[in-house]
Amino acid sequence: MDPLTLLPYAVALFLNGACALSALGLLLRSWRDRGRHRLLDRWDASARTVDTLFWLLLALLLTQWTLLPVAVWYSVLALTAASVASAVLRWPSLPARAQDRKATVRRVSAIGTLIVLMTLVAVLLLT
Amino acid sequence: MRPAPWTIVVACAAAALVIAVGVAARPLVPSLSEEESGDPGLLAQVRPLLSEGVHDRVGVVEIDGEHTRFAHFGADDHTDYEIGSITKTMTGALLAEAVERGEVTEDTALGDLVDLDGAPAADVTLAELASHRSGLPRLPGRVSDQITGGLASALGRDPYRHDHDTLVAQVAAAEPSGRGESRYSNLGTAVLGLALAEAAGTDYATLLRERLLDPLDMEETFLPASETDLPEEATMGYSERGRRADPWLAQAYAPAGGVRSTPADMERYARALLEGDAPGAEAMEPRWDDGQGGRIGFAWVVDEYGGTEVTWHNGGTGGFSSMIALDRESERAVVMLGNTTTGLELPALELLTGEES
Repeated sequence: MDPLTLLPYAVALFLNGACALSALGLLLRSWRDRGRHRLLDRWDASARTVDTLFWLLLALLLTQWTLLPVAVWYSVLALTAASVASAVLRWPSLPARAQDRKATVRRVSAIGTLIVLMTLVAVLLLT
Repeated sequence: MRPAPWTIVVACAAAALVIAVGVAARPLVPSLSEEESGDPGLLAQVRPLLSEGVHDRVGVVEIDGEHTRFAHFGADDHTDYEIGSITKTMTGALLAEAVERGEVTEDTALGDLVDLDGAPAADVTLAELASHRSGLPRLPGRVSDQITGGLASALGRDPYRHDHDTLVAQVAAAEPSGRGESRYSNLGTAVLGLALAEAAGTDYATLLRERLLDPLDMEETFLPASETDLPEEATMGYSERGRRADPWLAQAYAPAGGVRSTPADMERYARALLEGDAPGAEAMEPRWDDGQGGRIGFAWVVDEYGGTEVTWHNGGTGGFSSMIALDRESERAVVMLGNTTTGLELPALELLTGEES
């Protein structure tokens, strides 16, 4: 078998896996109050939400869906929706901005990924 | 702490929004249409051959001597499909016809017909272009073309929307390598079409219409230069990424893959090729090695399948697949056209030769 024929499957696994892991991470962090694996502030929640939506869009656009069951899409979509809902539920109890050293990094990450996401959506809608 | 009611409402709304957008933008993966028409025997033969891959509408033509059978899934004799690179066989026929008319020779240099200002590609001959031996790359090599083409393909857009000036600039920038050896080139066939049109003092669409389509009464075959040229009910293709694919339009790359046709018209084409009275039918004669164990003429490939010599060409666009295969000795032909990217080569060869490919 030509290894290149496996490439679309590898791309699909990577993109949908990245989206699922990102969504699962956000979901679990939303329910934790303490420990390292919790949401630190609202910028952290925003950055992880935008990250998950970004992976979801990439998975939609770049997966060869003719090779996979569409149920994969609906599963990843449901997980993303659940993680976004969890982040919203957690939002009121999060500090606006934590005072740790990485607070600025999270804010830049959230804004940067949001800009990329919006640009990609704009390109899709306008071209 | 229990969330406030408004927070729960907003959370549900956010989840509903994600799901609504995700469902609206979901991948579209069709299944083979259950609306069947045509010859029952051929339908029964073809149905299992389409069990693999993704299909929606499929049209099948089988010619056996004087008899023709059609089989359609979600379509009919007059459903239009993008035939993709089968167009190259028509461009090859136009070269054979132009040689017969004395307008050009096989050895006419590209630079004699197209202003390439002494670029390396100016020396390649028309025969080399038609048989993929020019050394030109498959696609334009300029970085800007690769980025825009790759992006267009990824987004399900037509990656070939270039005008003639751009095509000439792409060819002028190309460095032919391995000239004389087989190297499939859309770029080469596109500029061949331009050169033949220049030699005839017209444009490619008119040349094709006057020299091939009209003589064969292929009235349903056309080259849409823009979306407005498409019929209202034009068949839409599905991309491999599960999206409606943009139609590929017949601009500068039309000679390499811009034709839309129907099973009825492709039957006329295949029959005329079998009978040897299609204009430029000499294009089918295999004359050079194709680098993969077969032989090649002007675009047409000739291979052995299970003891049968098959003259064939396939095609693929962003949302369509096609295959034409001729067993010239037995006067048999099969044409398959579909509006998904799942290849139709193996089903067509199996139908033609009776051998599992």
